[in-house]
Amino acid sequence: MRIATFIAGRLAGLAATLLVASFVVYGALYLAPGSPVAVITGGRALPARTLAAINAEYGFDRPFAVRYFQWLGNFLHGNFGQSIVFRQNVSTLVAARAGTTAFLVAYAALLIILLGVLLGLVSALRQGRTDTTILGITTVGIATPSFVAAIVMISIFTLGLHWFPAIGAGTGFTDRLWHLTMPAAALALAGTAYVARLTRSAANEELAREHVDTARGRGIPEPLVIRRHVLRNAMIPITTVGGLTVASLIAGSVVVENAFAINGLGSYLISSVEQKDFPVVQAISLLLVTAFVVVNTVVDLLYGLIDPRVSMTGASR
Amino acid sequence: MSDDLNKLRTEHADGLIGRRELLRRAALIGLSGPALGAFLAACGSSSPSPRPAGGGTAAIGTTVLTPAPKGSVDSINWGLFYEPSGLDWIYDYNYEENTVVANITESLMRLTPQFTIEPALAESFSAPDPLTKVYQIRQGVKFSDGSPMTVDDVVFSLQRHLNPASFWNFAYVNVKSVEKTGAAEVTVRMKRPDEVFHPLMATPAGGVGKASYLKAKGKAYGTPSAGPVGTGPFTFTSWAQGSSIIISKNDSYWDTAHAAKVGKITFSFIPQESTMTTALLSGEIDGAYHTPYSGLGQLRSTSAGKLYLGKSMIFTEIIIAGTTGPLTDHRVRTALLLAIDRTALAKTVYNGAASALRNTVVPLGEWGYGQAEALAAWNKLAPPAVDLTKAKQLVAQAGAAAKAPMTIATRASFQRYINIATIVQAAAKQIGLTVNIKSIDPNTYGNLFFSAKARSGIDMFISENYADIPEPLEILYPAVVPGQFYNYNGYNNPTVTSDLGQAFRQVSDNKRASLVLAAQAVLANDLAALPLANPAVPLFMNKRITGAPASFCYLYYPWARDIGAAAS
Repeated sequence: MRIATFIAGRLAGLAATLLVASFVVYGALYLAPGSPVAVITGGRALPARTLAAINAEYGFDRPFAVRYFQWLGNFLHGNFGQSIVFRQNVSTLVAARAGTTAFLVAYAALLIILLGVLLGLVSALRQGRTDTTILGITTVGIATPSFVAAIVMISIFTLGLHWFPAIGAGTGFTDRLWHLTMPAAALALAGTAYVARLTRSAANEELAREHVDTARGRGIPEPLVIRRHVLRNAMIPITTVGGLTVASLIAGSVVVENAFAINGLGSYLISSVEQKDFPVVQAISLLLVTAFVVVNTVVDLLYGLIDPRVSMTGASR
Repeated sequence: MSDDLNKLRTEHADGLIGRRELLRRAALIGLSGPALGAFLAACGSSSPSPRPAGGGTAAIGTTVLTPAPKGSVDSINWGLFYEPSGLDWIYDYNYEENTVVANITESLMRLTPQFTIEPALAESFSAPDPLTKVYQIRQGVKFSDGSPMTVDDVVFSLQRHLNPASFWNFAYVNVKSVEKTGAAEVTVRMKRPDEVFHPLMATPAGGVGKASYLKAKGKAYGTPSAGPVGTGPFTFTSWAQGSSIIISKNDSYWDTAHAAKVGKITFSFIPQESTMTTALLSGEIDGAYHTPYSGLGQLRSTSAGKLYLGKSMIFTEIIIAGTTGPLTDHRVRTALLLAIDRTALAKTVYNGAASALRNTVVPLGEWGYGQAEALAAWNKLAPPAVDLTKAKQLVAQAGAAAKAPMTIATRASFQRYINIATIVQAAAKQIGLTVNIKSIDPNTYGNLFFSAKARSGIDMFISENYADIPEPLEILYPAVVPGQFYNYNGYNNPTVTSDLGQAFRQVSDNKRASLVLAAQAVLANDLAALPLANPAVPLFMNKRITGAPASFCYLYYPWARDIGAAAS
């Protein structure tokens, strides 16, 4: 019941956020200089009559309010409009790319959470050389932007070893996994390192606390101590940071998608902004806002599962 | 930023810069700490390659053809640097749209790799008088769906351009009517004589599609849901939004002597320069036109394939944007051009793949007629040498007004334009002129070509443009005749206007060449724009394939039909 109310509240918030976001994005794009016509024609000049015909055809000559409310009306009827550049339904264009980005982000999120927590725990439990090595690696990881990681990986794994392809997203599950391994790794690098660092310090903090000593003193097997008393308590900060990191992957996918020529939403958003393709920018932005809100809601729900003391109302930040 | 890094890595690999310079510039780009370490490791792992041979004296970008293929290939992958917006020829007015559609939709005439115009879907052409163009339509030609191409299809297709929304409507500005005048005859009547119309029939302005299909599909034609149907050597197969377009051999292609030798072509869209270069090096892509200039060093030295620098109709110029400011004084324009080292610019900005222009924006290779006269005229133009003494004299003569600061617009994050702007700024400074660089975001930059408002406060901007056809009039006329759409600064010289106006109406190639060359000689002195370079077309094919023409015909010529296996 409590969860239902919580989710209903979140949905209402989401609707309000989307409305505001749609206005802000549309307005910003409208105010930004430039016109899609220049993109469609490759920046080559055309006679005035052709420009006028194009402007009239797409309604570029109409005022802002008219265009925005027309878009909003269509949107509320489930119609995302037509891409200006591709002359196609936005829903078709976005759907063709959403799967790839979802796969990429999920893959990277999995890498971040599994590898990050694993490395952090190993680092906390094995002091000495292992700890120092992991610390060194994570330092490099945190400081490496994904596009640098992409260049380095391509030069090693594509040009050097010929293990992975440099471009494309592949088709079918296995092919996709193969194509997206390098992009996901490049995307996950900094996040993994960050989560590992955080896990390490959270685990170290827990290891030093009395209840862990007590548990050990009572003769509880070490693996159980780690699982129940160290990891579980450390999970709250890890979940918070992990959730935020994963949510930021959606935006971060832009760079990686460009570097590996992947047909994802991120690279499409960028090119659509450059082309001032209003309906497409709107659709992708709102999709990203939704995804962000959903990930955060899931994180908040997870708090309750990890620590029943956290109440739903208290968790809504 | 990653393109910058890749360029840096290439320059280092080519031995153009040392390790210290590499470090310095990497730091300038914003790399530090561990990221810098990782980048340097990547630089170390790429094998050093020798600097390209040739001391800059050899002509650059003269290749027309590549070695003929010895056999056929099942399928190849081809790289495009962006996804075409659509494949309806009336809206295809940019590189990659035309690169793809040229293999599917043919035109009445055809642009050849040698930059001549030959019959294609029209079997022959005649002009009984200056106002009448008659095309005899080739019989027995079939669309890729098996239906015959009729005269009605041709008339319907040409008439599509009479709508001003067609991007090729400009070709029809003097057209009065397009009519069927016989079983196999189409007649185009003109309002006034126009000798540029006929060669433009080799571009999408003369494209032919299937009328019934076009009517049925309406605006969806040429999108993934309603792929184009044409008569070309290839058939549209599929378009996966965002990732690839696939075309396949048209087995019923009418020009059997030139039937395709490739079964299937998959086009991939690779916007990032470094990724395109890598994909070519790794063999994931078999070939690409207009490969990134930043990667030419790697593509020259690889054993994975061969890089060609093709003859082109591309020209880089500085467009004079305003009707006020120091550049309205022709002495200042002359001085500025004399201070710019065009030879060095062509070499550095284009990574060795361009040649300097003399005082004309018409590259010599663009002459589809009157080549001998054009060459003689070219040789009379002063070589693009730097003369600071003369430049300073001219600035002094121009007086105080010349010293007002000027603004050159450059496209943000577009390295070539940024480099050119920097060169112009430095050249101006040497002769006591002040040039400020204004960086404009990529999309807005295109607006400079459309809107006077966008150009306000801008004295000059950089342009890489190209002629569609081997007819210098096509680029000169709109740029220097008053009131035309490329004439931004109100340039008005009655001699030039009169010569070009007559040339526009002149049927005889020889007489037309004389008129255009007379105007060119005046323009060489007037400098309505500052000509800089003639970039070549970089074409890369890996060792599996060969045959694609190297010249800048590929936007309109069905280039893919010439590709085949390098080995039998």
